[in-house]
Amino acid sequence: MKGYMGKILHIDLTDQTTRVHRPGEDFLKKYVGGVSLATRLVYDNTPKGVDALSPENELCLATSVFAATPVPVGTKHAAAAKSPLTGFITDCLASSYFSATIRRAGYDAIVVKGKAEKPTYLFIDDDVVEFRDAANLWGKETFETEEAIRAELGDQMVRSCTIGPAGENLVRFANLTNDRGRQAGRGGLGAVMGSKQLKAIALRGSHSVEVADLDGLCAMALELAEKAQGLKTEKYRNLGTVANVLTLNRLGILPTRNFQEGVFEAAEQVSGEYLQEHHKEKAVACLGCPIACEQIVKVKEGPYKGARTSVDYESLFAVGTCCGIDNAAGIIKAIDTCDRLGMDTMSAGVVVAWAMECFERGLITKKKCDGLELRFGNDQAEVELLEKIARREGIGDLLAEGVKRAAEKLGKGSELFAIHVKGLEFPGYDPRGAQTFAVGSAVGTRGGCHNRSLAYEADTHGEVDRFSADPEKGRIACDKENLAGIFDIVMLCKFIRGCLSDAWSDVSQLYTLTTGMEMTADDLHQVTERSWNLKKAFNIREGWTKEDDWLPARFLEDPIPAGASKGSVVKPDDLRIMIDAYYEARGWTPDGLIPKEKLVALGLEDIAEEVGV
Amino acid sequence: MKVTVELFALARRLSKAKSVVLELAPGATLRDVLVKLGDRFPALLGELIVPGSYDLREPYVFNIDARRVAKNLDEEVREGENLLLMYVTVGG
Repeated sequence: MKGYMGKILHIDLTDQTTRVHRPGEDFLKKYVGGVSLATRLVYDNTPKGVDALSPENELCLATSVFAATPVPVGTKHAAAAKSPLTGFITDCLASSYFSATIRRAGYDAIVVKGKAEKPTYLFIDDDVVEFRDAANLWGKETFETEEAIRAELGDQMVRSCTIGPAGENLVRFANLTNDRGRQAGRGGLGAVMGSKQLKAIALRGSHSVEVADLDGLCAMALELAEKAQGLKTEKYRNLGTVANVLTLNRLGILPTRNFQEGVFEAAEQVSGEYLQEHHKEKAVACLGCPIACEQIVKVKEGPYKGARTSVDYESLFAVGTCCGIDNAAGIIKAIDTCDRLGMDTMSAGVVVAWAMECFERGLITKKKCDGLELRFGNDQAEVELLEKIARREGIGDLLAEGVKRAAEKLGKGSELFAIHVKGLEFPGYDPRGAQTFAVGSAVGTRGGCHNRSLAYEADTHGEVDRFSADPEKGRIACDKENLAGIFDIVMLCKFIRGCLSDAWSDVSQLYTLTTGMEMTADDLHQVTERSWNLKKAFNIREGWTKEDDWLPARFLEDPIPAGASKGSVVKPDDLRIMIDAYYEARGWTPDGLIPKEKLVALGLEDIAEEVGV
Repeated sequence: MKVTVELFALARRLSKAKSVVLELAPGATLRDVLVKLGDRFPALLGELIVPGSYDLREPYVFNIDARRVAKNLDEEVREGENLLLMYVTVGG
């Protein structure tokens, strides 16, 4: 078998057993890898209705078919499971050496179930799987854990995926961290690992990936790598995604003070341009990436001196502008704190912003906040609060539940400004001034998500009038999801797509060169559609209803008060029309359900009876 | 007539300016704006503006008054417009 390792490793922490499943070529070609493969494994191995924090919830890591091959920006893996935040599937992407080492250890995917008796970490060394005592690691931060495992094993080449205190304490938006700062961030997979008393998965491997046409693949990979070092990716290399701060601010859709506004008066002093001038240390790249988008920033003086992290737009908006923070050093410290404690910055920032609004509205007192003056703009309070969330101390225990559950527990009308979809905190694009993204974010299978949707590309790149609502936007949202889908399945970083002449044909050619299995652009469309339907099928099995595809009240009731998008709102009737159009584009029923014949046509006949209509 | 060009990211770094007011003849197009910009900030030529043709290199676009993206560079500009020379990153 070329391009694949041909093995899926299943690990049971309860009885400390392992087994290796050898999927056939047909199965691998059908699901390809990444998010698609992970979704199939989650669907097959997770019992219906399981508690996401129970031993029966299986955590799946599935690699890119291009991981550890010459293909640039393809050394990635997907992590997926039922989310403790949403109750639906969550699928995350991470990259670099850990992803490659899964393959070098000999596996295309790793599936973990059960619960260890005591804190444990796994050491997978080719065919040998050790269940090692993690008592001395429990309580350590993510980066510390990675280093401690290397020291214990006496090998700097060991690569680990770890959780921090947040995962141990079952914070519902705890993440997985590998390679000192690459995160499978969204949906709480860190809590899933924590619930299993699994501190880390460490890997070492001696295998290499055998590809079908090495010369052909190297030629295409080289061409792609050369393009990826040119002007088409300059925007990522120079400023990175934080360039969005000033442009979205100017467009009036930069989430500010818990999405109450779309313009932040201090955007300049927390912008990418500002960070570059005052805090940038260097840009670094994931393994196999010629772009190098990761902007490493550092605080050189003042109370946060020494804080150092990589910063991207989503983290910056969430812990920054969404919380009204005008101090770049404070934002760096907040991101660094989340990274070390093992929390998704996006969810953390949005839940802190909600708490700040609650405080300013008098819904929670200073006493309830453990003495913190939790006003918008108070970066010191935010940093302290993030520590409390990770350790579930005081009010942190409430916020560790995520904004949906926290608002339901607090009540007092705070649900109206809890900004989430399906329980997943919202990303950094105000949909009132980006109507394609309004529908795209409402229907997302993992909740409020920009990366799986990409619909905001249509709004911000001028493909549509971003202020108007019409059924066409539902169809565009579907197309954009499919485009995102193929990158998440073969797991090429989406930043390279400008270097492809045609994503579908170029990717299918790369796949064929890697595996020797003929894959056409049409085949890839089918793979992508299958993957989206399988994710939706999982959610239907877990109780999804049409009401779950909706937006927070703020976007439907409160027009943006100022700036270039002033007066914009998502009208409920318009949203319904766009969602209906999205369902139609997907070939689903008006209720958003999947017809049995659709599932059969996609080769999912085995689940048609269970979830089809 | 006068228009204001707002500069972001690389455009700002190369020009060392956040915005610039340009004086243009009636009927001037966005391409004429690029010619003026190239004269004013030669560092933009090559990196953002294609010398000779005065096309705009991807991914940069002109956003008019932060409301809509210009379809092409032959579009005429109007007195008082704010022209944002910008892009939005998507994906990751």
